[in-house]
Amino acid sequence: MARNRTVFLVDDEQAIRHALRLFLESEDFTVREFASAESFLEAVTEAVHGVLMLDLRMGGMSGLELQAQLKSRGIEMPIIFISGHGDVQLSVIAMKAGAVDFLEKPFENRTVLSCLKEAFSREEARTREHNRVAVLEKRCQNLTPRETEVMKHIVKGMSNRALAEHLGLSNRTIEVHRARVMRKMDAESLPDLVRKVALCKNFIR
Amino acid sequence: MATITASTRVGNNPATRYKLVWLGVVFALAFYVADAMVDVFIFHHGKLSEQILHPDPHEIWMRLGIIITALAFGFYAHVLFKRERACAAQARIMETFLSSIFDNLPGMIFIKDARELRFVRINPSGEKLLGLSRAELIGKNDYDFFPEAQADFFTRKDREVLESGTELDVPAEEINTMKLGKRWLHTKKVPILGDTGQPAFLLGISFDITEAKQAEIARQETEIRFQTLFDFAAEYIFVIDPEGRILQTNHHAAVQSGYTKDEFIGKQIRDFFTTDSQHTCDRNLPILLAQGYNRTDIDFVHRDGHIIQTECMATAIPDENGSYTTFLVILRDQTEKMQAAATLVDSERRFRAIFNSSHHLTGLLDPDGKVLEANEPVLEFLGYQPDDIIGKPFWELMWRDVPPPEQQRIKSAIHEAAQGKLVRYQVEITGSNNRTMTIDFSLKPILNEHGETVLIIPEGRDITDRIQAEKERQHHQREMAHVMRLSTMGEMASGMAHELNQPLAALVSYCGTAASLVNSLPTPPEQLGEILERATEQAHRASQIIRHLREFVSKGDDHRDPLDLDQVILRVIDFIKAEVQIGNVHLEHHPGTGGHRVMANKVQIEQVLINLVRNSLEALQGAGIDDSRVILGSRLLPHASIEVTIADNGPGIDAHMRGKLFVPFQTSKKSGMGMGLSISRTIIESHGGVLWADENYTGGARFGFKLPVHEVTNGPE
Repeated sequence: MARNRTVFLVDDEQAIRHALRLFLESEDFTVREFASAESFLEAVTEAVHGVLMLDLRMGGMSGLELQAQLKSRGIEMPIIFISGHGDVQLSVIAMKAGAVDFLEKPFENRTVLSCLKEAFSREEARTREHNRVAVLEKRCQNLTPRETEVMKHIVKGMSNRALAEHLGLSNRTIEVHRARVMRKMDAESLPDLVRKVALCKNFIR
Repeated sequence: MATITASTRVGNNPATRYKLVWLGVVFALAFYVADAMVDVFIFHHGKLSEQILHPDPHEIWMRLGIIITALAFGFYAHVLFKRERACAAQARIMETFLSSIFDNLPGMIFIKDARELRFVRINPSGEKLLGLSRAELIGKNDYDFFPEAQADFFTRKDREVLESGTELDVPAEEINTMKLGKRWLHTKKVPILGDTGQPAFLLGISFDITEAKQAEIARQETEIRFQTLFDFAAEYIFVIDPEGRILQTNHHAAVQSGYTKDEFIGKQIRDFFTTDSQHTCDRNLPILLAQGYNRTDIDFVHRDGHIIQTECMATAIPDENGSYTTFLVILRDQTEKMQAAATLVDSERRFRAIFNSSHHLTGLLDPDGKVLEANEPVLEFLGYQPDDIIGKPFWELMWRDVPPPEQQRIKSAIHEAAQGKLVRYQVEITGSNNRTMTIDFSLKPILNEHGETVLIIPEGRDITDRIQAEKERQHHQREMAHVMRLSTMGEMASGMAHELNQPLAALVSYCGTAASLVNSLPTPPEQLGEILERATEQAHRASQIIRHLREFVSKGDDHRDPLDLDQVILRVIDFIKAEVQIGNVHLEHHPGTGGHRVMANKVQIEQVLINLVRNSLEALQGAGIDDSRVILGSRLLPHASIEVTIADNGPGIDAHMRGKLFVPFQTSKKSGMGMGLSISRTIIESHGGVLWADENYTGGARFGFKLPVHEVTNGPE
């Protein structure tokens, strides 16, 4: 297992935190524990990476509320809910809201481990995706305004000829722009370009 | 002089004349003797004898003449005297005769002198009538006996008679007598003329006509009374002759018919009737003539043309020969009577309508329990006709098949009601179509002024629905209580599971970590791994036991329906008011769901509301707030959810409870487990909603929950 994997542990039960920390650290995870949702919210930032193990019911802010709070702040961190008693209704809500899994106390260490594996692989995928998007967005930023415009029309399926007519440019000029777009975006084909543009949709919009 | 005056005045009197003649004789003789003496003593100087012896013949003749004349006068006087005596005797007889008439006449006779009107004479009848003796009366006048006004009247009349010199007849005058009281007199007053032709006396003759007068007054009064009766009787009265002509009519007839009396007199009575009534009249005339009496209905036509319905009574009045010469026709106006009758019928109809349209079974019984009346619902329910029921004993009828104990019960109830008591009990009756009703049955006695029962009103109110509703309410309440108990247990189990699962989870985790550590050792101690595994198993088992317990108690009914939360709130307010001591707390409801519904389990939502309202009530009680109130409000939120809030103006949320309101077993109350809010939150969350407490709400506590809207009806929004 790769190092530097951080587990954020939010539970108002000190014994749970201690037991889990022992176990997780024995499994080479970095553990940061919090006794309440509020204290976690204070500490967390967008830049933080890791998996959140969150108790569903706590005094003060509940696990579900914290989940909503994080979402509203744009912090997309995989969440594993842990609950003192399996509440079907709440677990459904939690899963719908994007939780990775739902652990019912008492849980086996190996269950925790497999959940975390899943969560971290998701987190890594998310990070990779995030990075890829970041690269693509960077590429997009290198396009000139004219090239950006040409690209927008190309991905909508407009032909060179129609585009030349639409922009009042010669067919040849469009072909040049198009070749540059393909090179700058590192696109192998038109479908590849379309997929890449879809990923950095924020930029296009 | 006096003599001369007297003679001139009373010269006609024979006795006086007689005395004068004798005076003349005596005077003549005296004159003669005197003359002779003068001759003797003066002319003859005492030579009397010679003179006498030798008288002068001339002188003798003269003297003889004188003597003869004197004798002639004397004789005349004698004749006069004798005549006078005869006259006096006759006058005495006359006087006696008149006196006896005067004294014995039954009427009063009195004589007054003309000058001062003093009584001169009065007869015994007069004394008796006036109540005064003759001695008291004579010489007195009317002013001495009568009141001044009356005396004035008599005096005036007396003077009238005396001055006119003619007699006066006073047919009736009233006097006040001393002993006989008021009397009526018929008096004749006559002037009596004196010698001079002037009235010297007043003769009065009075007859006591008091009896006759009284009889007359009585007769007049009777007549006036009769006439008044006749005129003002509330009937039209006509006197007609055998031909039907009106001879007389009364005032009432004239006033009420619009005609005058004169317009009636002489007309045919039938001319005032309608054509139909004229025929009736013609048909009934022979009957009247034969029987002397007839009665029929007549329509009288008022002058303005409207018809007066009357009852006509005609009676023949026989004359002294027994034949009918006049008829009395009396018409009595029936309009009012008919109107009264119509009103009575109307009122009867109205009461009967009420009687019959009542939903209750009711009727009338006599004190012995016999049915006098039964309303339509009774007949309908029991499937009877009125004839089946009227007059029968009530206990044989109330049920189609009367169980003997019930018969006995109703008999004794009727007996009690007959004693004046209100009897009431609940009973089940099966009607004609085997429908069974639960009846609130009562027997109400109606008493007369002596306190005796004259009627009994039996009444049966169908309380089947009410009983049913009551049963349902009780069922619902039981159900709620059951659910409440179950969810309390469930919540307890849930809370326990949560609390126990924490240490168990820690335990399992510790064991797992320990096992890993053990296994990573180069030479793991024997059995340790297995022991740790067993320990983990036991922890899981404990957890399982708790899980089973929780599943067992939380197996409640989770049926869900679309609910209008405002209706649920209303129901809860009713329930709270009926079941909980709310003291003087005012419960308000501000509805605002606008007809939108939520999909929820009614009993569970009710339970949440009851929990929250009860918390508020408990907080308010003993808080010493004057205007304590709990306000339940609902409103539709923008994102298709409905929010319900329960706010009170109590002391608010305890500071030390903040943050742990919804944690099971946490409570600030002396009694209670601290489950209510925890259960409520569980319920609301299981419905996909949120329950919250507004801890910063000033002026009391405010709780609220949100539930997603199920469907949009055609509400006002």
